[in-house]
Amino acid sequence: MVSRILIPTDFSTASLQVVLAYLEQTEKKEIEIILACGVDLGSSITTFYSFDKEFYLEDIQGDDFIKGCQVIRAKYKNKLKEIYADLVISKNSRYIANYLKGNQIIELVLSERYKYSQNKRLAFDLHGRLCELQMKVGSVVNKLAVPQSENDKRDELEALFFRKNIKLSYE
Amino acid sequence: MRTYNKLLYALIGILVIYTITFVAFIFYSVTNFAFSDFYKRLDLRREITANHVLDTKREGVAWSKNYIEELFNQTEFVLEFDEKNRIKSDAYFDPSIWKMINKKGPTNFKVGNKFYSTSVYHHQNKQYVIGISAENYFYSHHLAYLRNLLIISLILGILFVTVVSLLVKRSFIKPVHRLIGEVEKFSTENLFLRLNEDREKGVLQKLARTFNRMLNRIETSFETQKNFISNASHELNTPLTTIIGIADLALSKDRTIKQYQQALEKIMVSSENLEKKTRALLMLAQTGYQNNTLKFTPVRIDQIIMDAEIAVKDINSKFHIKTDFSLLPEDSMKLKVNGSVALLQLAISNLVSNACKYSENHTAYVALGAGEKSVIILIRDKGIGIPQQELKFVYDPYFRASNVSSYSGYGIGLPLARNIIQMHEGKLTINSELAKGTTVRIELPSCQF
Repeated sequence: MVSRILIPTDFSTASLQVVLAYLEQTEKKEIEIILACGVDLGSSITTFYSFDKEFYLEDIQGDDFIKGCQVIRAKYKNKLKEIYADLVISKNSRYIANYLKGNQIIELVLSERYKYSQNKRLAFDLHGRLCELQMKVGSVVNKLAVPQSENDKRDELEALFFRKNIKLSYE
Repeated sequence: MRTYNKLLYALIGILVIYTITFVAFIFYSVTNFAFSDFYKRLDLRREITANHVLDTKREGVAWSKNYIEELFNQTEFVLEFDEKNRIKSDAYFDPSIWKMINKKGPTNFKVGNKFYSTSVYHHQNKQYVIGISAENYFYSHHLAYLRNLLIISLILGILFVTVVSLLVKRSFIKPVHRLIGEVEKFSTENLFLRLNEDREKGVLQKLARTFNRMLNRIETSFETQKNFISNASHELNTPLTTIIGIADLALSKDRTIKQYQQALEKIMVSSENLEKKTRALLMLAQTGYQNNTLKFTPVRIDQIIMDAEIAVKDINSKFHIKTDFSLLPEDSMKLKVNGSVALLQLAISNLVSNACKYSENHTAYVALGAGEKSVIILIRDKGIGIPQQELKFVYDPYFRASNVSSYSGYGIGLPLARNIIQMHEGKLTINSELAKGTTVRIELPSCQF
């Protein structure tokens, strides 16, 4: 049976380190990962009608983030059945609980050293909100101590490669 | 452009013809309705007048006369004939319409603004022609207003269609003109220029992309041809120096046979290396003339990186490569690209040796991964970096950054590597931070099985 996991993201390539860390340590054999970002639509009817999820997702995901996902997908081809992005469109605790229940998410993976760096309009830190609500949401919460990459990265994909805990040749 | 204009004028013409036909049809329909309806109303009033004059239905006539609205400028006339068919009396009759009256039955006609309805009646052995005339207020006022309105709308419509069509034509042609303008700037001196793909949309974006790809190929061929001699001397210099050095060392004093054998073996290895490079350079030169002559075969990139490691260590034993293969795909087929082993090896070993050369620890970090359609190679160093303002010149042959004067080199390795990557339909990008290091990313399209 496929296990559906939710990992909050800000769509930075560095946030994919949590995905890698989770896939490296999990023993589950069939995994579907939802990379979710928080977008607070608020109560404005104009925002509600004019908001297009597909367009927003296309806009917020950078090329390097998508390439990073593809690299992870190729690396864990047998284990990782699907990896895709989604939006959680409210901060409301009941909405979040229902979202997790409705999507049959069995595990929430949170990073102990998460750094939120998304400045896009309407976006909010879903990771922070899930940390606040972790007792109420009804899914298993798995906190991983993932070292966040340094900020001096020149190429965004470097966040996935040359990680501190990975042994390089000749070392 | 003439075809565009012809098409546009044809479309405007069709639209104008359609609008004129439409307007004419509306005007004709309304006029026709106004005529037939008015004649019916005149006929009715003529009958009432006849009944009134001939006194056939007195009560009904009185009622009708009272309640039926009189038409604009309504006039009634009665012609009475005697037994010999001569006019006995002609009350209110206008003689000019005599010819138009049907002497045997009912008739409707129009003279100027006046509409007439006449008919022949027989009463008590006498013959009468009774008629009624009135002006059609709807025809003379409202229809004239409608006609003027339609003519003005027609003129405005044609004007609007023409202006909008010309604006649309301009907006269609403008990006084409812009592309033509950009293309006209290209010459052999600035083959590095590219069309802006993001500004265009749809077919034009596709055209710009195709044109840029063609420019990539032309630039690669052109640069390869132009710099062949420099590339050759640069690439052949290292193994030749090694051979001369070993031979010089061996001949500096008398040595044992074993030592001579070892020296010759080393010379042999370097000569083989030299031969490989010569072949690769020849291939590179050939591509400048005919891209078809280069036969690409599926090549495993991890193997190329491992070979580059050996080649770099041959150049300088202090050089190290630390490879990160932690994200290699499960399916090794994803690491295969269509390419030339010798050329790819030449490109990657150049980049890796550059990374080692400009780092204090002489170490290059190489990572490999595979996306959906491409193989990604990252080559990074913790070296001196490239000044931000000089990054755009690094692909120019012979260009050397301002901070590398203490390092030997010719400024050829990177342009050569980029040409080779472009030849493989790949992309090479450089990101650098001064005093922190440089990262080179290579993306090569993977083989589609």
